[in-house]
Amino acid sequence: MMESGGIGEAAGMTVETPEELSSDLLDLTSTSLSEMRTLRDTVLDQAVHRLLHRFRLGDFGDSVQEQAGGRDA
Amino acid sequence: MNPVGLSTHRLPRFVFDEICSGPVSTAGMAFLRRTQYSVRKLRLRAFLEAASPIANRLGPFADLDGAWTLLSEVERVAPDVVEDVLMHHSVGVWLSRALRQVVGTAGDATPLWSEVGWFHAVAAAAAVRSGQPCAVTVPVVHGAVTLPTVGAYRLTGSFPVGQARVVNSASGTVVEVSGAVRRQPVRRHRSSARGYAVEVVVDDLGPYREFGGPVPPAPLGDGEWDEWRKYLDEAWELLTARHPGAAEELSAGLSTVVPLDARRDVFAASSAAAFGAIAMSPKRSATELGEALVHELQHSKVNALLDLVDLHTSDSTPRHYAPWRDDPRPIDGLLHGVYAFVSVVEFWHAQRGLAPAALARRAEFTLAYRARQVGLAIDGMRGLVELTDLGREFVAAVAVRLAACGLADAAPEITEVAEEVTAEHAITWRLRHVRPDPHAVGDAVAAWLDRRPFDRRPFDRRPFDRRPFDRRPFDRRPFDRGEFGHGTVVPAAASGESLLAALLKLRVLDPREFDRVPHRDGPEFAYLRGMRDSAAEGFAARLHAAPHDVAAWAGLGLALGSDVLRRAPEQVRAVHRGVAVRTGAAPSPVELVTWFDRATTSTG
Repeated sequence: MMESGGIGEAAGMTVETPEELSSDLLDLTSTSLSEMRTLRDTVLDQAVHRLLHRFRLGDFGDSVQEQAGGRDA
Repeated sequence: MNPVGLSTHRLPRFVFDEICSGPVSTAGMAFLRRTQYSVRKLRLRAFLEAASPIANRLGPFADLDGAWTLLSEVERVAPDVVEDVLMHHSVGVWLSRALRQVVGTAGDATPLWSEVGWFHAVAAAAAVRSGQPCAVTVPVVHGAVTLPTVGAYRLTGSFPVGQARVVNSASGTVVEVSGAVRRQPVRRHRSSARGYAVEVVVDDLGPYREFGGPVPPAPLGDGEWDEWRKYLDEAWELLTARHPGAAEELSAGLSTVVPLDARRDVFAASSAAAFGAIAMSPKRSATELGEALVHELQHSKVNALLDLVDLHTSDSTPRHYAPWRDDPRPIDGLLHGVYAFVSVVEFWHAQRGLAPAALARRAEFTLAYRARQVGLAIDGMRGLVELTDLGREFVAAVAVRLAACGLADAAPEITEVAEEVTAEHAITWRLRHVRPDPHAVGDAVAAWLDRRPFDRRPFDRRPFDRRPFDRRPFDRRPFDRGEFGHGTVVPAAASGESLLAALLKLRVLDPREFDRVPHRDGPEFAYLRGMRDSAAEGFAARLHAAPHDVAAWAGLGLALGSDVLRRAPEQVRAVHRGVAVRTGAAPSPVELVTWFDRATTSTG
């Protein structure tokens, strides 16, 4: 399932276009680690807390796909 | 974009279309990798938040802020290095495990302080890579300090040693610990052909390289390393020559190959936490290696896609039949399977006529068998109401790709065995994991005892046609919400291949070995000789002695060519038992199956 990101562009205003599909995954590629530690941002906080909640429920997002005797994919 | 500048990723339509169609371009793979970097950073931020309150339990690794600061300083001067380190497969696996530790859901006994403390090794790796001076205390795991993307420092002193100090300065990197330290750098290998190149880390050192808990370094011997490089080069030659699309996406997406011990019963594996990494046992040929690379990278693509968009709305409850697995699977597992295996079908379709004579039959069988499995899975997915529109589009595209790999010219004896083995597996799966509707069983028992025809209407609740999957709207009848057919899926521990399936495969793959099989009696061999009546009698006799014998029911289903045993064997077995309970005598399995089949075939 989707990684717990945020509610995204303009908080819930994500829009599908013919060229792009919306996603809840926060784009953190350009956010520095320094900013990420100090940033007080609701969207980021919500994403972090959703992710931690998922982990507490046992949804770790680290499933292993394996081809072995009788156990493929 | 919100007030502080954070926005969400948007999946370019062309990337989704490429994923659906098969091989993804360099640009598409770069996009997927970028989104995985966001996943990695979000997880790291969550890790810091959850780990900080328990820092007092981390002993020498309590200064998490210090490690974060070091990583941030390196990022300021060398962001590519930090990205490279954080995207390392072992960091992805570690992050997932460390998060489990700090939220209290660890799955094994690895010490919290040591596992969480590996964050310092991640920061130290970035510092060493960028030349940033530092002095960092890091965990010693299985006698080694391992810095992701850098290598391992193996300690020769007495054990256990829980920590060591990594000092990086202008004069080099030193691991301060009593006793000698032997450094083993990360292995890398580059293959190139026809304008495509792939450069991979061959990880035989990292503690998290096998996608689970920490394992000791297992450096390849010189001969093993030579063999891996040889097969990687030969596989790359083959992929670029015969599978250029797959070569392009591997070039952009494959980051790591993890050699596994040949004694392990693992052909190949990948992890949702380790985008672009593939673990595999040594392969016997470049073709086999090429197939494994193509197959496993598909899982990385699906995992990245699932992090971006919802293909279904279901939870992770394993309740569905996947023809390549003995156990029930969640919908994610079905999506992974059909997508990865259709790429295998395409691989072997493109390889037709090219396999060496010794492998020709295996190649032909693999093509037919995987195609049959994917087709059966797609048939089953047609009615999944939990699929989103994107999920339906995804599955429909797989069906189109499967249809493009026509098997019209395949040897009939090969396709027949593929069909038989797949059917036998499906029957066995239902007998193991599906509990029939007790009301339907009761009705059938009463009808049998009253000598009335079987009422087939309950079976009509589930569509069971064999139309090829297409882009028409899904049948939304609710047959698969915790149910398969009109039974309920209850996962059981049983697994394993039947004797009949093993013999069918052996005869087609290795006729000489098959001819050497001793004790050639019993219903399985009768079936293999084409003596279907005799086989049915033999399986029925076996059921007389052991009414719950799953393999005997499955064999009976094939021998009789029974429709009902293929569709709902659990019903037949339950009615067989129900009649025995009511009357004290079990009915003839052959007569019972014939009675069911007469009803299910007489009215269309």
